[in-house]
Amino acid sequence: MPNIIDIFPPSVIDDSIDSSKLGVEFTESQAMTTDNVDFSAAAVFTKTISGATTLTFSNVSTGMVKTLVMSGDFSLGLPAYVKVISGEYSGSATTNFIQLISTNDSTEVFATISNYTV
Amino acid sequence: MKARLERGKIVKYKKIPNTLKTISGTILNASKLSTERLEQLGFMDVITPLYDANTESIYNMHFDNELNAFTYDIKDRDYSVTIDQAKLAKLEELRNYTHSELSVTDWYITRRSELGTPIPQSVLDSRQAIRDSHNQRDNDIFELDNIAEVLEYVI
Repeated sequence: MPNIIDIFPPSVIDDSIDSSKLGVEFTESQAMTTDNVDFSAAAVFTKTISGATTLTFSNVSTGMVKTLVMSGDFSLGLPAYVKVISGEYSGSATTNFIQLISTNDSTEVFATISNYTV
Repeated sequence: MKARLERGKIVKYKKIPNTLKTISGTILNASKLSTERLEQLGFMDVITPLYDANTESIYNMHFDNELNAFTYDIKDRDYSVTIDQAKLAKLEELRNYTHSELSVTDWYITRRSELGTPIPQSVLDSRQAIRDSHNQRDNDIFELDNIAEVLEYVI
């Protein structure tokens, strides 16, 4: 008995997938309640730090791009495999915009930092 | 000021770098780290001992366990000039000072020589006071017999 999938392989019509069909890791903004950034949980993570903070990352896969929107005039630790390409965190800025991209799962993540002040 | 031992060398920091790479990760806004955390990362205070910069110099920065900070040793300054050379330099400094003081009222002298206009007595008195002061300081410098005193002498 042939499998129906073999007879009618699924296909996706060109230009038929829009953002509403994508998972939360591409579409959601999450207000962080812990110090962990779960790369599978959202695309954008926001947090106002109220004390010295060290972030951890989980579910990091090559190619994932995440944005941290951070504020707060305290030190902010990132995992050892994060390499900051450019920019500096500013405690006086309204927003620090930290873009992350994994180039090798959880062994290499590059970061760029920009600031915005109202 | 802080300092830290890095690869066998003491590196001084006027301020803590904003982005700090450590074995355990990168720290952003690192200047906000607590003193305790900075010390864990090797950043210790630099304490400059009190010394007389005219006669002494500081050298040999090192970590002092009792102070729990980096500090310096103090030694007598090794002068590169003789006392006579130091006196000549100080007298030159005095001459330049006196010249600049007198030059403020030199135009009265020029005006008198060109036009015959009398010089006010107050100006004559102030110029004489400058010259008297110069002569007194000139004698003071000549009588100094210690190179440190010569260098410390304030014109």
